[in-house]
Amino acid sequence: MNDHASLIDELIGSLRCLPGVGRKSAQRIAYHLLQRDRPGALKLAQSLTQAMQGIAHCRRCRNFSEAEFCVLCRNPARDRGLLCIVESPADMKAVEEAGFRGLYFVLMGHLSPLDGIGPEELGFSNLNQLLDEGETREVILATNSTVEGEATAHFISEMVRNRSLQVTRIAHGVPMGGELEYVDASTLSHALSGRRTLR
Amino acid sequence: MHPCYILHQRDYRETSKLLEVFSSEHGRVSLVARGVKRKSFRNGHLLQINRKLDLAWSGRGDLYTLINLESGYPALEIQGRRLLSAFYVNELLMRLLHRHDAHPQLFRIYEHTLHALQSGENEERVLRCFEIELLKELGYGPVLDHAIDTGRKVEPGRDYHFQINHGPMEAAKPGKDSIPVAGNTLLALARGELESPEAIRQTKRIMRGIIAQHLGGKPLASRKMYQEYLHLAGSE
Repeated sequence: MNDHASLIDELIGSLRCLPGVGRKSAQRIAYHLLQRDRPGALKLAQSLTQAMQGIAHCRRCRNFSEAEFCVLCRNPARDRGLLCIVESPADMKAVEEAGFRGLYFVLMGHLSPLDGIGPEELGFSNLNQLLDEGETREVILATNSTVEGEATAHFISEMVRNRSLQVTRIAHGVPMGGELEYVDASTLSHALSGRRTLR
Repeated sequence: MHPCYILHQRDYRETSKLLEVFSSEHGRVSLVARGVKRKSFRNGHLLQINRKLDLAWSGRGDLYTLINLESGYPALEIQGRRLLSAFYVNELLMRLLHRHDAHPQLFRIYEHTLHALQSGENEERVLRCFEIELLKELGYGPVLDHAIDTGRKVEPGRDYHFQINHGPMEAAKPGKDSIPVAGNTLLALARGELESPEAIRQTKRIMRGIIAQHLGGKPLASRKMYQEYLHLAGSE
């Protein structure tokens, strides 16, 4: 009986490592799986084990990958001259959905000295190696429009300054369907300073 | 609502943030900002470091809960490498201020410093002036007006040896804690009016020595990052 109780406790404890899951939710999930969905739970356990053991980082772009180089980096149809630098895999997915067809470099964070995250943690040396390969024509800095994101973008732009590359920063401005009245002043000032000529 | 600047922030759980805030009336305060990363939270994007905000919080202990925020101030746009200097200024405050010690005068100095970094004033001078004002405000301000070994007033044309723990001396006392400094620099520093490159350079060494004394051996992460930046950018 004791063993049984400790297995449940252990399961509940383990579930709490999920984001947004506290003690109560963990308990609910554990009872649900035991009572109603054991096959699903076993499949989850198997997927988790396989994923945790089989997924590492792509040697080129640092995104999650099962192979040494990820599917994107191996895809010959991608434009290898464009390199889009993003903060996270989720950001990369967003840019991908926006229709970008070049390659990526995923920093897995942004510069935050007080949290001990500097150039080394963000893989700047990997980025330099990647650029040494010489395929890249343009580096697109698509870090977030936050102070930390701007600092990261600036740092990278200085780092690659001496290479014969075009370095661009994504535009900041009014969102699609946005009404100017409701856009905050600093976004609007970026939109104004980044305005384009219409002919 | 209290006028505040966010010194540092980091993500907390799925939709929240932990904020280290410098407030004009309450000094350094730690806040948890719940749910600010949800799409439905209207003003979450305002929570940026180096941006003046009106914040309200509630709770007890060391970690309060943010309950309201407003931005009635124009946003600062510190650019390029000056952002790294802003990180440095923020880290100094994080490391040297105790929580809940009010420093309204220092708040004004901090604000002035951020504006100076934005406006393109000499970056080194801005940082050195911030450092000396910060030390004075915290009660760590060094002796600048007289030599501690002779008690004589500092003279503009004379050279001194600055002892980190004590102050300027007329007689040389070799050792790594002794920094050569011109009388002119000491007097300029006392007035808070650093002008010449030499004065700024000498002040940098003195400030670095004094600040290190108060950091308890742990180096400043933002300084390390700045050095890596200079190295990578190949500009020094």
